[in-house]
Amino acid sequence: MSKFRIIEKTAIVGMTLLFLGFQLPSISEALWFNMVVDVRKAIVNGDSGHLVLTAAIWSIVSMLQGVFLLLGTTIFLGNLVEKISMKLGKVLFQGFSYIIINLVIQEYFFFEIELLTNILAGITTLFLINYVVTEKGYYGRNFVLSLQVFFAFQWLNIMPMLTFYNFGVSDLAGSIKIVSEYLGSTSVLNFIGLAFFISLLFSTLITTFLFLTNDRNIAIAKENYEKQLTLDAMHAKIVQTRVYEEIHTITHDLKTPLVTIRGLNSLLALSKEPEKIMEYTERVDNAAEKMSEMISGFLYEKKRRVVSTEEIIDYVRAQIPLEDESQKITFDFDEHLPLLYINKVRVSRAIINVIENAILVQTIKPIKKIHIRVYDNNGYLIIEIEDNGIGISKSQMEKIWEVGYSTKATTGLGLAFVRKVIEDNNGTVSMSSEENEGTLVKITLPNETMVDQEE
Amino acid sequence: MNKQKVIYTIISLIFSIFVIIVLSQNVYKTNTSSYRALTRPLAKEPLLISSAGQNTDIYIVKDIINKLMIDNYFIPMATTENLDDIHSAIMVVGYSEVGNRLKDKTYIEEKQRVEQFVNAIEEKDVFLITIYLRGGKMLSEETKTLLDLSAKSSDYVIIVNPENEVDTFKEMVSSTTPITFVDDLSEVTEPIVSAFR
Repeated sequence: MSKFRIIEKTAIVGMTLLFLGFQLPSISEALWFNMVVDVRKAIVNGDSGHLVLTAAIWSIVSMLQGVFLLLGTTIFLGNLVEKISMKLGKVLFQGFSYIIINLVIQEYFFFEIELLTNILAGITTLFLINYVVTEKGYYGRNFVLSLQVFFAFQWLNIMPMLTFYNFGVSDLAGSIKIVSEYLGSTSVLNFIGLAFFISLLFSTLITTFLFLTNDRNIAIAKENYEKQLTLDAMHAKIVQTRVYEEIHTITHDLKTPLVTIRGLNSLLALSKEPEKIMEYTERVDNAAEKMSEMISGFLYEKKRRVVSTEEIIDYVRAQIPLEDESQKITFDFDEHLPLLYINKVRVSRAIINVIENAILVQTIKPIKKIHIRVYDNNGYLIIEIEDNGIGISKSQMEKIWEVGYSTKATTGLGLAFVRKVIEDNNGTVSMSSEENEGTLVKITLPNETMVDQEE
Repeated sequence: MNKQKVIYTIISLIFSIFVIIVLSQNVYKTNTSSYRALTRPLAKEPLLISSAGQNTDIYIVKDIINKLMIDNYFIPMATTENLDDIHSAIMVVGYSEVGNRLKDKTYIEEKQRVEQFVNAIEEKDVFLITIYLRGGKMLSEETKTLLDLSAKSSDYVIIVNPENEVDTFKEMVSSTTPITFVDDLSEVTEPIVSAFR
């Protein structure tokens, strides 16, 4: 139903334009009479100015008629033309119909038209419309282009030098040229006609290129928008993967006390001595409490308590593999380390993440070395994790803290999580790296007295 | 095909055609000459200037006649009654639909008027000169009919820039009627003068 309405609408628009094209001479009859009077005045007064003005008015009126006829034809035939797949076929079909309409006017209407010019301008416009402005429904563009092309070609009709080639052989165009010949101003009309023709053709060229550039810009913008959407989707997927990774590590952490509980449970089954049973039961209880603490730590980000640095170190050491022979992990701890007011599980997990990154990173050196140094600096606990891996390039360094950014060749894994956890616990984390030399991650945490524990 | 290429092709094609047209101007210029020229001045004053077709060319002829100081009456839609005391008449031929509409006349009415007027000229033995200024390229069917009506009863015919229609014009006049072809409008004064002086 709506399709029929659209067809109906375009048919009505096309018919209206064609009607305007047919009736324009009648509608503008007074203008034509004035033009005749102006030509007479030019003869009587020997005034070429009047003649040029008449030529301009005649060109505008003729241009309008040509544009109405051409656009009327193309819009009226719009839906039929859409069925033709070849562009040349479209141009030929529209062009043929347009020529027939011009011939009908020439034959049956009182008004003389410039057949040759109308056909040339019409075909040129049809080529531009079909080959350049290919989008359906660009009526505004078609109108602007056809106005310029028709106006350019109408100026050829008032050039006396082109009469031999059947340009400007209609009544009024002929009058203008004959009078210019009589007044000795043929060169003036030739020059003006040529100047307008070239300028308008040049203007058509520029307009067409502007349309093309605009189309290209819109296409690029669309492409960029689609790329951005794809990137966003990919980013979301990466973030989701990171979340799963975090869950995986938490699950892994939880497994340690669980294994302890299971082991102790097996021992409990075998033990008969009440002291042993008591000891195992106590240890099972401790492991369960540890597990509960870990779960609370992850469930409640803001849950913090006073923890000793040693407690953190023990926790971290228990989670990292130290027995790998291809790498050497060394520790360097100060004797007096401060107490911290932190979420133990989350901060430990963040430190483990950094150490795991250092373990995972490739190196060009014969042995992977990781040095972990923990010391007190004016009340601040400093944890430095240094590796001799391949390092991180400057360009990657800017993105390394972004959520979801990762490269397996560098220590980028989960660093967004690390930064968030450390900052949530009033600390800072920084990284410096040199390609093929190594990376140093520095975590700074304030001691418990420097933190407002009411938070 | 690349869109830019299409535009360049169209524009360069138009320019090329245009350049060829401009350069070939002199090659195709016809060279016509007088044919059966008027041997002595036969037209006498006063002269009536009228139009067959009502285009603006009559104003050019009127201007030429005035400049030649020939005693004339200017009546574009002259009728039989206007021929009293007239010794010669010039009929400027060229059909204009706008010109006729301006005077609220149709082509048929104009044709009838010209027919009656030419018959009256023949009856009254007035010296009739037919002038056609627009050349072969602008010879419409209506103009051809009117020119044929006027030329066949004329005593002298002047045609400007006949192009390839020389034979068509020759066929319109009787074998004894002098006919002059001029290449350019600026040359039309000379044959007009030769008819009077």
